[in-house]
Amino acid sequence: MTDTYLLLILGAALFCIGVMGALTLRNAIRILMCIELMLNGANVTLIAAASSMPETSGVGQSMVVFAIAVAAAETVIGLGAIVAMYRAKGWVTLEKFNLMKW
Amino acid sequence: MEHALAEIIHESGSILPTILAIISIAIPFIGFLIIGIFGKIAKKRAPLLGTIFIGISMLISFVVLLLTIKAGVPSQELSFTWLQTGNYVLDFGFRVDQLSAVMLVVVTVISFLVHLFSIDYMHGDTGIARYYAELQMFTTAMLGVVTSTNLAQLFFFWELVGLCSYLLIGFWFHKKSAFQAAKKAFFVTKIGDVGLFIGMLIIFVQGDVNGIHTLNLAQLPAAVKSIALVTPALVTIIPLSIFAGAVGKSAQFPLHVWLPNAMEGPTPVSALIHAATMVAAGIFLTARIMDLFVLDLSGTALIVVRLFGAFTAFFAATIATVQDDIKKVLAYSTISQLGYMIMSLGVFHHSHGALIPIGYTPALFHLMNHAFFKANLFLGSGSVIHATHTQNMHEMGGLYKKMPITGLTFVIASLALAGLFPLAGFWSKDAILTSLANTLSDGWVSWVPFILALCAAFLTPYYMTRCVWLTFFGKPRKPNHAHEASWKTTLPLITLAVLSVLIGFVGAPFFGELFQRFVFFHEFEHEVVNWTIIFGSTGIIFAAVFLGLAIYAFGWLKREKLIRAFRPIYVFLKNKWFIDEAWTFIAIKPLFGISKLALWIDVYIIDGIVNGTAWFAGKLGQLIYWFDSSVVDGLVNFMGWITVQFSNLVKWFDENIVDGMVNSLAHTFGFFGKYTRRMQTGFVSNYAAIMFVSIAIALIVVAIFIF
Repeated sequence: MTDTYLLLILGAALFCIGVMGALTLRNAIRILMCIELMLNGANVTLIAAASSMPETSGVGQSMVVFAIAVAAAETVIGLGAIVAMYRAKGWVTLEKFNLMKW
Repeated sequence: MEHALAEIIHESGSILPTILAIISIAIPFIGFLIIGIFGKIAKKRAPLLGTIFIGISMLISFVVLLLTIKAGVPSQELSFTWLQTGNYVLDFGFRVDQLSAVMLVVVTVISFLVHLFSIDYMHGDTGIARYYAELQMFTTAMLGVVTSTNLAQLFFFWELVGLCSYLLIGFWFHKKSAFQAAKKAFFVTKIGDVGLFIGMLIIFVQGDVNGIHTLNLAQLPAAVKSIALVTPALVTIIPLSIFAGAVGKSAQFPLHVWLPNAMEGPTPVSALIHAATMVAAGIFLTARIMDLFVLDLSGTALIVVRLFGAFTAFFAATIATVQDDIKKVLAYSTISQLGYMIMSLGVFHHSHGALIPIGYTPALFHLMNHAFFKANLFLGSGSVIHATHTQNMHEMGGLYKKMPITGLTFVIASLALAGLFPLAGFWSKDAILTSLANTLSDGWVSWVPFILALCAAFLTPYYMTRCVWLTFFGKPRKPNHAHEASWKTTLPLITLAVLSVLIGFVGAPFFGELFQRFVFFHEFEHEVVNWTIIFGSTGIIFAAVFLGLAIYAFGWLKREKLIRAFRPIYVFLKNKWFIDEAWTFIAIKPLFGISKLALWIDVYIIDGIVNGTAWFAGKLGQLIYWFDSSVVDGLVNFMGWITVQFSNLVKWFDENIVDGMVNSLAHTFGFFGKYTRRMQTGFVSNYAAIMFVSIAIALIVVAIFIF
């Protein structure tokens, strides 16, 4: 039981670090990394839940594998966008990237 | 039965060597973290720090080796379940057996000397902290490979080793050739790793040991046996598929193409990774899964291994004879020697219906010896390059007088590589040739490798003579101010030269075959001394050295004339058997071809369809235009007149009543908008923050309602 709690705390901590990073950092690549951290926080939480419920026999783990695959795809697209942004603008600082401003 | 045997071995050892091995793996990892994280602050101290960390790790490895020698059995395994899904179990653990103990010492000793050597070599480089952090990581990964108890864990460290190799080859990534070499090394070894991964997956999914799917190295034979009951062909395919990983990592034909390019990295890195340790990981893996190879009683798998090795040994040696870059000569020499080891691993004879891999011990003996003298050669070439700022041997010459220590150690290591009695290479190379000679009755599968190995044994002293003479003797062909560097450079050279002389004696048949009694496959094989081989190979060495001197030192045979006489062969060798061109032709060109085809389809077919549609639409539009302007317009104009009349009526209503309402509404929204538009900052972070806060509030509200 304590193991599960520890893992849940780890997951929450990872998620919070990710959120903090995603909100405060300026470099797009770092933000992407923080989003990865958040995803991994969620993954750890799933694993914790799955391991505390052995009767589900790996459903949680499978979900995590899917999440990892999706995260990989997402990273590819995100990096592609960042590279495109770099080519167009010469920087990847999100603070300067405010085309959506009114 | 294997299972029971493994259990016995498993029980009998003590746990102390395992714990010490884990500590010696952990220390460089801590070093990696410290140097990696605080590298920017402690730039000056990184080399010293890294060297000390590896030094401690090396001392612990010595203790591990001594304990293992004393115990004579593998240590107890220390592992935990890493992942369990149903009856699929993956462990994560460490264990030290005789082979691991030897590898631990070899890796840490060479790593320590390379760390020491690099202090001067990399002095003043802006990335020195990064360099040392990566070296530490590499050492950790390499020690992890040799002590893993589990194929999946081994694969994990194996890839980590590959990553470090990638990072270190591309250490000077601002140089285009360096990062391209790094990419090439990474991709080419990945081709082999796919094979390794497939083999691993087949075992994991299909293998069944008492109802459990496992990749524990001790259980692999049982798993493969259970697969063989269902699909007999897989017993040959699985080991070969894993061997593909070794082909990539140990730079065997046809995946050797990355190793010569890997010389773009700093020279000490070439010594550590691309000569002594990482490329030996492939040999180590093949030796580790020897249990699976001998399950294939037809011997096909081992014969394939033997032929691959023999061909690589020969073909790389031929290329080494025409290289001008001192590091390229050593790189091809490394490929050739690795081929020797791989060939030796494939040597076996039948005994009571079982396969006895008699080349197993000689191969690992050669692996150890080669690590020392090849590291020595690479560090020596590093010293030379550092002093002369060129890698082209034709621009060197006469360096022996200026750099006596480098010169002397280089000559000793060259002779050890050539296999001159009584230096290290002699004992292991002749052990390999002897084991191969004992199986000559098997027909061409032994004859062909034997002849190729003899050719390589002739070519090796020849190209080393050429290399030594061009570099250290004769007249200086280009002015330089070469001089010996400090003790930090020469001490590793001297240490390695001493080891190159002495290390062979631990496996000498005249001194009790200590190595063979320590590292063996299931049981110790006594080596019968074959005097024909000993005198024959020594004669070959003298002949080759004489030929080399005749061409390069005495000038009896003119180099230009020889090149002219054998022009086709020279061009063939100079272009490295056109292997790179073959890869371009087989793999890269078709890929570009497919891309071009896709482009063509896009431009002509898809665009054609779109353009055709557009043309059709245009014609249709003209038709409609005629109909519109003559028929519809008349109607519309009439309707228009009526509408205008009606509109005048509505206009009054609109201007006075409706506009009043709308304007007041617009004013209201405008009033609100003035304030709310400030939320649209355009910063992604702000939107994300709002999203997170909203979700958090929503969750809290939901929680309150539920509980």
